[in-house]
Parts: sequence; C-alpha cells; structure tokens
Amino acid sequence: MKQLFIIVLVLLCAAGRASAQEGLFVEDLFEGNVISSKIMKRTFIKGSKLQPYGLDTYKSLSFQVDEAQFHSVELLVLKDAYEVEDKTTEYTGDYLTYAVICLPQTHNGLNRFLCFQAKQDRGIWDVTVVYLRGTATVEDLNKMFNKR
Amino acid sequence: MTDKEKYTALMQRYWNAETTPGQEQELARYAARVDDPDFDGIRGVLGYLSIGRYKNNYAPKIASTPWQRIIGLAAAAVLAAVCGTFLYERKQASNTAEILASMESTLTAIFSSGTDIETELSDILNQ
Repeated sequence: MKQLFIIVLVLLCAAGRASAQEGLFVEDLFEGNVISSKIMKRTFIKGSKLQPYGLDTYKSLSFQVDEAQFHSVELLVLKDAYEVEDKTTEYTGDYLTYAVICLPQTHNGLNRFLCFQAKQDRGIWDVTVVYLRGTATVEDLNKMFNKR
Repeated sequence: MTDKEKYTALMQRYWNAETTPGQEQELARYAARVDDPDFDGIRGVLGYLSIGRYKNNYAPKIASTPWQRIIGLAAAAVLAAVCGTFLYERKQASNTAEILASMESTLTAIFSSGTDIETELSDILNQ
C-alpha cells in the first residue's frame, strides 16, 4: 500500500513537471533557474481572459542582464529554435536580438510560440521572453499586434 | 396655607432645581388636576417629562429570540460577504485590465519590430 502511494505520488509529480515544462529549454528560465527571479518582471496569464486574443496561456519575462547571462538565455532560445522550421530570427552582429518561433503544436492541437527580443545598451542587455499558447496563428497575432 | 400657595412655593423650588422626584410627581399631579393658568408652564414641562418617562419605562421592548439573533447575524455576514466579494472583484477586474494592457504592449513591441519581410522583398525586387 505504501509503495503504491509512493508510485502514485511520483507519477503525479512527473505529470505536473511535464505539463509545466512542455518540453522547452526556456522553461528553466521561466522557473527562475537561469536568472534570479528577483530581477525579473514576470507576467503569467491563463484562462478565459485571453480568449479574445485566441490564446489560453501567456507568460512573459523581462529583465536586464550582463553579457554572460545574456548568452545563457540566448542559448536556451536558440536550442528551442534549432529544429523548428517556422521561425523569424534576427541577429545584431553575433547576438540573437529578435525571434518569433512557431513551436510544435501541443498534443491537443494548440499553437505555441516563443518570442524573444533583446537590446543592448552599454553592456547591459534588456531582454524580453514571451511564451504564448492558443488557437491563434502567427498571422492572427501579427494582425492583432503588428501596428506598423 | 392653601393648596395653591403650597404648590406655587413648590413650583418655585422646582424652577430652582431644589425638588425631589417625589415632589415633582406631586407637583405634576396637582398641575394636571387644577385648571389654573398659573400652572400652565409647569404643567407643560412636567407633562412632557412624564410622557417621556412613561414611554421610557413602559414602552414595549422588542424581545429577540436566539433564532432571530442568529438570522440577524447571518444576514449581516451575508451582506458583508457580498460587499467584500463585490469590492474584491472590482479590484481584480482593474488588476486584470492592467495586466492585459501590459501584455498587449509587450506583444505589440514584439510583433511590430523585426524586419518587415514584405517591404524588404519589394525593395530587393525593385532594385
């Protein structure tokens, strides 16, 4: 009985972890394992409030870091972008400064996006990382949010 | 000494605040009994006071049963909960609006930057 209880507990923890990670390298960043969460501005929104945007999850992080920390964040984004075909990336010199990555869909057919934006000013990097999930396509998002 | 003289003297003492409650009652009874305009003033004052005392002492008190007290408390608790929920939801709604505005601003910054591929392609094709 005790063993069964432990197995169920382990499975529940694993399920929770799997749903939280969603198989992305940047999930470590969102969990505060790469950059201290004390210096990050974090916004997590879930549920019906996002329905008008065709989304069900919105997670964003913005923070200022030095070059070494910037590289560790950039690496996570590049790893997530590596095998994805549908993506827009821009570099300034050797540095990744912009990315909109259309991640593989979830098992229930929801679209997922990872967005990254970074600007450097006198050695300090101003970074924004956004994770989006929902029925909206990248075209929908462009229509809604591209004000150019 | 006639009754009138006795009660006139008592009335004088009443105006000087030198009478006891018993003497005041006696004076009030006398003033109510006689039809003498000299006692109109004291009749008015003591009559008014005695009506107030009567109401105070003999007016039926509203006795509440334990059930009535419980219902009253429950009603007050429900009212407090409804008001609390209303205020909390109003605050939440305002927070949600702020958060959504911040989200829109972030996504606008992202989707409005980056290279405009159409412009770039048309520039290349026009060269």
